[in-house]
Amino acid sequence: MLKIKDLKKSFSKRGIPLINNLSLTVNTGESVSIQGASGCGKSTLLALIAGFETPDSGDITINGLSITGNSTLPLNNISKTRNIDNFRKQHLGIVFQSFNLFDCFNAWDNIAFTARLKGNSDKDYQLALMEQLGILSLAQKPLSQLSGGEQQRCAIARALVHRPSLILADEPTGNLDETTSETVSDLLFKTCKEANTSLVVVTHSQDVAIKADTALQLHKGILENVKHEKTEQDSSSPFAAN
Amino acid sequence: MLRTLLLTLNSLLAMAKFRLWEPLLIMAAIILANAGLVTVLLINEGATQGELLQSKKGLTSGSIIAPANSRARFTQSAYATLRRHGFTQLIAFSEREVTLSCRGSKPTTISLTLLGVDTQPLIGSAFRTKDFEAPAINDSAFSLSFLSRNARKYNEIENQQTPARRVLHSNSGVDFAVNGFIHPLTNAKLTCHDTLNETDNKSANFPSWPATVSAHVSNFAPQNTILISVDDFYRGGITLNSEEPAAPAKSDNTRRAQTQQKTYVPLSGLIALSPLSQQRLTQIETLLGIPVKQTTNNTDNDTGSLPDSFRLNLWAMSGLMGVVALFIVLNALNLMYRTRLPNIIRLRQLGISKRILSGALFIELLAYCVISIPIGMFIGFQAASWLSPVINGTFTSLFNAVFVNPDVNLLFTFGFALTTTFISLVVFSLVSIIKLSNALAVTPVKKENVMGQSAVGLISLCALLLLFLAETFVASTASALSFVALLLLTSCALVLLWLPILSSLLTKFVPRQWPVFHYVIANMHLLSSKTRLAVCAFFIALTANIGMNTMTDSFRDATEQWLTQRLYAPFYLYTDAPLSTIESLFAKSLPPFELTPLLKADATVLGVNSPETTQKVPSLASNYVSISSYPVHPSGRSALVLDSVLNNDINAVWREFKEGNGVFINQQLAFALNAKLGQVLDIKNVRLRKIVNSNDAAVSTSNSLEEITPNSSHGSKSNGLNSNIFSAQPQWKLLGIYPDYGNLNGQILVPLPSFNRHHTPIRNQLFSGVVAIYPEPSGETAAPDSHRHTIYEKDILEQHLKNQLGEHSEIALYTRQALLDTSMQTFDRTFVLTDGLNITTLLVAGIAFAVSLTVLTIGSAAQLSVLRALGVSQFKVKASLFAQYLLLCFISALLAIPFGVYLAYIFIQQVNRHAFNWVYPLSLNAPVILSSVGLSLLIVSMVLLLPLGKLKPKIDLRQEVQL
Repeated sequence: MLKIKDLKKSFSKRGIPLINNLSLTVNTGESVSIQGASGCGKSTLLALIAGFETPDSGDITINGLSITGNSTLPLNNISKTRNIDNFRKQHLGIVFQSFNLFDCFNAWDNIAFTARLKGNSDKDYQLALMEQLGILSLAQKPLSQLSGGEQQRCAIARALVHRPSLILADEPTGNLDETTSETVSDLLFKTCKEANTSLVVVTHSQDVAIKADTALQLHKGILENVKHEKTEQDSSSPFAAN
Repeated sequence: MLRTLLLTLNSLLAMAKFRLWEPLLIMAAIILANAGLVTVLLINEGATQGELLQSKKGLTSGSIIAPANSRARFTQSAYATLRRHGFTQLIAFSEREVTLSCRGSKPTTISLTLLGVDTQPLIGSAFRTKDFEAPAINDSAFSLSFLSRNARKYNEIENQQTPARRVLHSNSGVDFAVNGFIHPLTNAKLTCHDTLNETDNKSANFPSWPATVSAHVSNFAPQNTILISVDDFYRGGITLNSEEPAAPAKSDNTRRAQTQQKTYVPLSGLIALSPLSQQRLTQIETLLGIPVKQTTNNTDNDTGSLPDSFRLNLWAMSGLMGVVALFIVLNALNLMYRTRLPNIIRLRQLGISKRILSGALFIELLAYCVISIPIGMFIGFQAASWLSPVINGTFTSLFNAVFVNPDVNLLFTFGFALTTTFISLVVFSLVSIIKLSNALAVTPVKKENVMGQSAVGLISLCALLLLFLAETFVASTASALSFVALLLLTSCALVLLWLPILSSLLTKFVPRQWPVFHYVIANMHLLSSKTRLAVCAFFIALTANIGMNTMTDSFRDATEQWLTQRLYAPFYLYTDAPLSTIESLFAKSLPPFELTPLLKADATVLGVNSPETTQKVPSLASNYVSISSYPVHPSGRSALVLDSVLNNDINAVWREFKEGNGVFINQQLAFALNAKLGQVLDIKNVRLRKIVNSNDAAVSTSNSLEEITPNSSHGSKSNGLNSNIFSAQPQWKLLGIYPDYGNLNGQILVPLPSFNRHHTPIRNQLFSGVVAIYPEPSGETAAPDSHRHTIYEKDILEQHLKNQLGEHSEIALYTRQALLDTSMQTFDRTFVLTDGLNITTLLVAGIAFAVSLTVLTIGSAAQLSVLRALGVSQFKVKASLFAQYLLLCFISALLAIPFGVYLAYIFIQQVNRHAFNWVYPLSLNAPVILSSVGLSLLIVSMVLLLPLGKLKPKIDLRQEVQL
């Protein structure tokens, strides 16, 4: 589903590249967590996957389409900005650390925005998604009346409602307390799994990272596998049984 | 403490340096506001100084003594005799015509009178105590001695810096120079901007005139004259005495000039400051041995006066622009504080007190003021200088008033601008600092205070009712302008109440399938609260613009319609020839035409008499009215435009008017007298308008008043004339009121047959210089048909008239259409200034909006980033922002239309009514209103495109959206 091959990105000409010959494969429905020290390039990697940044070299393909324009198959290249915008609209869902919902909309319209943008608005699916995330009763509420956890659940719903192939989450629990963080991260992984959507999560939280199918660490520009031991808390999570 | 203050100031300046465009924006706002302020100050000062110039008494405001016999002349020895016998207040003068043309421009010529006066008596104390003043230099004695100084090299004069001066070159080849004075109105009427040259084909009688005259603008000089010293007058081949030259030659050039052909020009007369008594006149006659006559120059009504109401209007418009400019400064300050807020909070957290912080902020603002104000002042001076020809044209054409480039105290202006700006900024920054304090305090989340539609509706209804109620209390120009301000503020408040409701309603109707557009509308609802200041500025500017444009358009429509109806004849002749000459010429050689002359007289109105009471005149400048003739033939009747007639019976009224049983008065007089139809005017002192026919010749002895009314004195002249002016005394009963746009004075229409038909000199004196010419209605003509057809051509007729009248009479023949076009062109020119101010105000409002946009774009950067992250293209993001702001403007514009129309109604029915004493129908012209709206939206669009073009919303995953 997501294939990254020999990706290189540097912000200074002389220094060590932030991303250095990085390769990664994420299959459909698979979740990957990426951890790393501050400034190691986690968010840059997400920005490269989303097409916000252009790599120095290497290739990123999502569903067979190269967003870097470096594919050996020219027909698969979608390097032009407009096409990348369109690609993002069709295939990607993004969850931000600070939720980034539109304050001019209520919860329902915020969630529906991406589906409307894509043109595949499905009211029933949105209702089901909101019910699953426990925010159905908040549908008509203005954002100013929602808590941080509720807003992040809205953001997750917004990222999923247009049925993207891949969800990118950048510190999705960074602004939440421990309990809310646990709930929200469980919901994120669970709904992605049920929607058979791939998920790449960048996080500092070990508790979040270990919920992914694959836990990786970015170190000196390359990804390394990390083995986490699941804590008791994880198994006692209300969503663990699911 | 000082160390903390300096440290804080240093931090603030570092913030300014980091975001340099913020202080630059504030400075730009201050520059703009000050440029506007200084421009308006200068315009008003120029108008005031021009008015002051006109209000001072001129040299010829007294009376003129001349030999009674037109062939007799005063000599130099006669003048000396009079002075030796104690007539030291008499000033000898000589005059002759000069024709000038502008170098390098279209070949138009102007005839002026070169007036030489004896300056010796002017320096005497008798004149200094009589309000005479030469405004070029405040000390009158010095000014007059300055005039009497003899030749100077032209280069020396050129280098003199005086407030206003005009250089007039002789064509005689003589290169000596003299100083002189020119009346400000004459100066204003000269189309040439720089130097005027004498035309080559000057008549042989006067081969040359004194070289170059550096004429200083002063009311001391009579209109249409170049006033110089009599010493200078008799140079360059002009002699007072045919046997010997009057003035000794002082240079080779002068000597060379005197070797040319000598031309004898006698003294034209003697100027007396105030009319001499009959006893003194008899003394003069005894001393000189010839009969003399005294003519009093009644020029009270000649000098136009800029009405206070116009200045009020100017101040109102400038106030409007000032308010809009202040919105910009406030916006810019808001912007700066908004972006600096986190850093300022940090400074407070680090222990810097609020007082120190405020002090440092004020010092920073003061620095911006000190840098920006001189730049703003410079731009203001340049703008005023650039606008002065336009303003001058407006003043001259509309008010017969003068605008001069004002002499201002730079230090005072700078101090005034600095104080005003700094106080405004301090007040504004206090608002921001209070916000800052609130930001530092922990406050509970405020519940959103949303006012319901019904509550807003009720408030709006009450506000409108109060507004209508307030309108009934308008009773003067000042209160009318205050009501305009009230209307603008009320409408602004209502717009602020309605804008969120309308945008919210709009959000409900936008289809959700267009998510970006839905976002635009929904976000606009939020913006409506954040863009209040900019919306206010835009709304006020646009409402004023619609109001002014609708008023101007209504005025234009009314004037055009009125002129079209009033100008009934195919040709109009403007001439300075006597009426008798014109009439005999047409009778002899142009029989196919019939003439209707326009006769005019002056009168004083004391009030109106109704059957019950006699009302006194409430407010009418000098109680002066002009009495004009009106033809009673069928064409005249069809051309008559009346607003209201007695008993609404036009046929009966016309019959009464035709028989001399009543008169028509203009709106101005009706309003000033509060007169009602059927009442009778109390008219006194009906008199001839002036000594001479032409407005231009202020000093002339060619037409003698005494020939008409022998032995009449100033006091008794009017009564004697009254019986001579009219062949049949008209009844002053008010039969109708007619519109008379552009005339600031009261006017009475009297049937033409009522004027004296038999006494040629009186008819010549009554003649205003305008004759309506139209084909004779009957076929009884001696002219053959071919001749008749040819003569109907304007150019042929004009040439014929010129040939017949010779070079001595100025004539100008206009076709009806040409006159109409010229009038409308003059009308349009008159409103150039208003249009300019309107567009400037809109531009300023547009800039205020752009500043708001910049502030909001910073605030909404995160949301834009999210939009981009979700796949919305950069173009769509920019378009959405553009659409948001433009939609806000559009809704404001829609709300501005009804208020703008109401404002136009107030301008016409209240401001015009009280300021100019005329009203006209409000004509609603959709293209005019739409063009105002369109132009304003275009200006805002263009201003918005600048920051939007540069906008590149960066996608940042860590960007925080501020809720």
